[in-house]
Amino acid sequence: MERIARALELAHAQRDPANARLPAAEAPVRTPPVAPAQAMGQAMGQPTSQPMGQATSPPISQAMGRAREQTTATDDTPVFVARSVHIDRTSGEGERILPPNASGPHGASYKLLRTQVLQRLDQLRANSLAILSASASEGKTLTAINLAIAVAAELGRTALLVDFDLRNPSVHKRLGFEPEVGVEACLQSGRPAQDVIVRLSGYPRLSVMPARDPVEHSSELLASERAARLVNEVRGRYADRIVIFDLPPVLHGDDALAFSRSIQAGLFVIAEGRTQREEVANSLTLLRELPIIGTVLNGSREPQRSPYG
Amino acid sequence: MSTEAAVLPLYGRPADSAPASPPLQPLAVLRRRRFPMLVALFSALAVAMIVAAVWPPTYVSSATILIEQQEMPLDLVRSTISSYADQRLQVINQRVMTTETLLRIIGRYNLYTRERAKRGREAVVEMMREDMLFRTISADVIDPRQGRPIQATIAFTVGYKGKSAESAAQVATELSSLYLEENLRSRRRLTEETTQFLTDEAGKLSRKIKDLDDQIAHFKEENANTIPERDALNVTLLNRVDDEKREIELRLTAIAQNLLYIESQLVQVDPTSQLFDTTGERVLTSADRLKLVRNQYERASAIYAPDHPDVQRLKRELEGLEKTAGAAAADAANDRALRLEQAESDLAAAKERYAPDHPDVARLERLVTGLRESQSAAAPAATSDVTPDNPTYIQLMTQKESLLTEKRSQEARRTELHVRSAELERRLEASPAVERRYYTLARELESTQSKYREVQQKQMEAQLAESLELERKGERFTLIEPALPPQEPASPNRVLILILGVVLALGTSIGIAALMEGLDGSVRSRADVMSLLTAPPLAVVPWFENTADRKARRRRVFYTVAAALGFLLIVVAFVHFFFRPLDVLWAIAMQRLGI
Repeated sequence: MERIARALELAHAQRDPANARLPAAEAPVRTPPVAPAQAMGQAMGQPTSQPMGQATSPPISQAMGRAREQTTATDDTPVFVARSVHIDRTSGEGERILPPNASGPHGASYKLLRTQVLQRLDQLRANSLAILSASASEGKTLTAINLAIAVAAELGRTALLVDFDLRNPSVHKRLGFEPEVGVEACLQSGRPAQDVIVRLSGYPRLSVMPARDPVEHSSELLASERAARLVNEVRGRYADRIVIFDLPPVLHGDDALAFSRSIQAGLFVIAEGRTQREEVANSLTLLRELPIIGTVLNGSREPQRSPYG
Repeated sequence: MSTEAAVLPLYGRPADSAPASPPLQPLAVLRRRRFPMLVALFSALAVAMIVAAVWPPTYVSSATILIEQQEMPLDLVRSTISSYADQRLQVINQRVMTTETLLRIIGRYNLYTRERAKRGREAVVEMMREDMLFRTISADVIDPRQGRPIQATIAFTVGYKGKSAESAAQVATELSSLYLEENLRSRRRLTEETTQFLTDEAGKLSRKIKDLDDQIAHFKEENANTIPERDALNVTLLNRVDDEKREIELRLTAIAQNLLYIESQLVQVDPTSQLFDTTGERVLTSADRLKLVRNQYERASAIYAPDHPDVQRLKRELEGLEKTAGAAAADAANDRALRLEQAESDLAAAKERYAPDHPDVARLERLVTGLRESQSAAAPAATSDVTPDNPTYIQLMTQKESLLTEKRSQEARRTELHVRSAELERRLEASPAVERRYYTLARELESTQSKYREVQQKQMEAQLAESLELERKGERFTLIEPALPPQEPASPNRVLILILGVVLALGTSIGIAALMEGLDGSVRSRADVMSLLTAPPLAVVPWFENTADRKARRRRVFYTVAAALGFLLIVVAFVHFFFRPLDVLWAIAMQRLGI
């Protein structure tokens, strides 16, 4: 309890200077702006990670180290505070986006998905997931968003949604905001990730790295060294962070394949009534080198007695 | 836990095995395709109902005509019509269903008005032919001629399919009466023709018989005597004639003998009776003396040459005597005749005895010639002035005369008989040829007569059959069921159409569903995913409806409801117009419910 209270004080102290300062360009230590709950989670992440007692990977221990550093950071360490964006969940596509605590009629499905995904990720010792689908308009982006929300809804996890669908960036469209900087800038011109990351208001523990403009040579970008470094960076920052990558449709381009060496796990989205069986088979054949942890049947109109289908 | 378990076992699937086909989930299919299925169902139903409603009705009216057998036993009266009812029916069919007749019916009852304007007459007649119904009703009977069971037509129906009940009944009635009339007409015609034919034949034969009769009569007339029936008579006559001829010959022979006898007697007898003088010597009359001298003269002229003095002396004596005894000239002529006769008989006898060149014969010949000359030189008209007064001579002369007369008559008769017998023989000879010709004629007559009798009999039978037809006691067509206007249309069977429509609608909807399912290659359920990947999806995210979707759904629901209402309206209208009016239905319902 004491430690918790101390962490809270620290967080309060950090907030003010964070508001006054602009994010530094290349601060080695980046402290993302923490909501009290987040700080608590982080603080709790320390002790809670221990009881999990797994052999932690170096990035996590490193993150843990940094967190300790964080607690003892001074006021003049530049801390990074991401922009917060408000999303509109009341109209159009926004209606399908889950509320923050992943409640609602289909929240249960996403929660089930989340739990299974997290289990399998843990089994694979992975913390990043690529959302794949055979073709467009199958609900991949929405699934990615909602899954991220569901992951973020779990105390002890944070989620970062990265829009790597550089052919047709749609995360920001779904969420209903216009990004200032897109992730393609990071890949093309090496902008720091902090510049791109935004928070969603009302959704704690959830960050988004949107893409702004469509890019011609998206697959080459994704296969580049910079992309790999970026992935490593965002993945390794926090131990409890799950990175979710939204990728273009498998059959519409080779982006997914190009990105495959950075993919730790993949989730295949199937739209009921839309995705052809042939497409599924072809896609999975293409992706046979990738570790696909499972599929999601999206948009099912069949009456379900349980979220198991 | 191993990392491999987290990975889809798809990769463990053999490369060349195809993914299993999706499992059949009929309920899911039903739910998934409910909209197209309903659309197909109701549109098919609507189509069926419209068809059932709109299809124009056809009414069928038909009459049944019974073919009744002949009532009278066939032994009594046998009809001349011997064909089977089937054949006659077909013939009547052909006669009734001519283009002319049909056109007349079409005109009278105003049928096919539209088609008449559009298409030609032949097309309309063809349509009429198709709309006519003709059906025979058969039964198993025993064929009276052969004893085997056959199918015989016992009745037939003739009918018509029309657009209205009345017109169908009218046309069917017309057709049935046409059949009946045509049957009667053809039967009557047939029997009349038969009778007429036979009458003609009888007439011809009777004329021929008359002809032959005449010929025979004529023949008999011409050959009255030579016909075979006369042969017996002719033979008898001939025999008689022959007998008579024989008699005559006998008689003539007898007469000749008698004549000879009498001649011989006459010669011996002096026509005049002789005088005797007192001494008992016969007195020579001057005639006698003349006779004596003449005899001497003639003998001398025979012996000596004419210039012999004896001959000359006797000649002078003779002439003197002749002058004085002029009256003895006749006597001399008579005498000369006698002497001529004698000489002739002597000559005949001599010729028999001696050769022709015997001197006696020559002498007698000269004598006969001399006598003949003197006889002819003497006055031929010299009648016998010497009246014979010898009674014996007179008696003999009388007998001679009578015999001569008889001889002449017998000879005449004999000639007659010759002619007659020749005639009779000729007749008899001609008789066989005549007989042949006669028999030919007679045979012909007989055969003609027998034929005539036959024909007459047949003619009578035919007349009887004709009257059988006239009285309609033979086989006849009887209308047992007239063509009544039908109360309900024969087609279409609207209920059937509706049922078919329902079946079709169901089939269509199922077909549509199946088609769509078949064509849809998408993943449709959790089980699909299972079959495809052998692992179920981690989660099934339900379809979430946003406002736009809801609006669209609401709109769809609205249209569906509107279409359903429209359909209901069509159903109601259908029922009202083609089944029962709604108020009637309401009344029935009220009644049934007991209100």
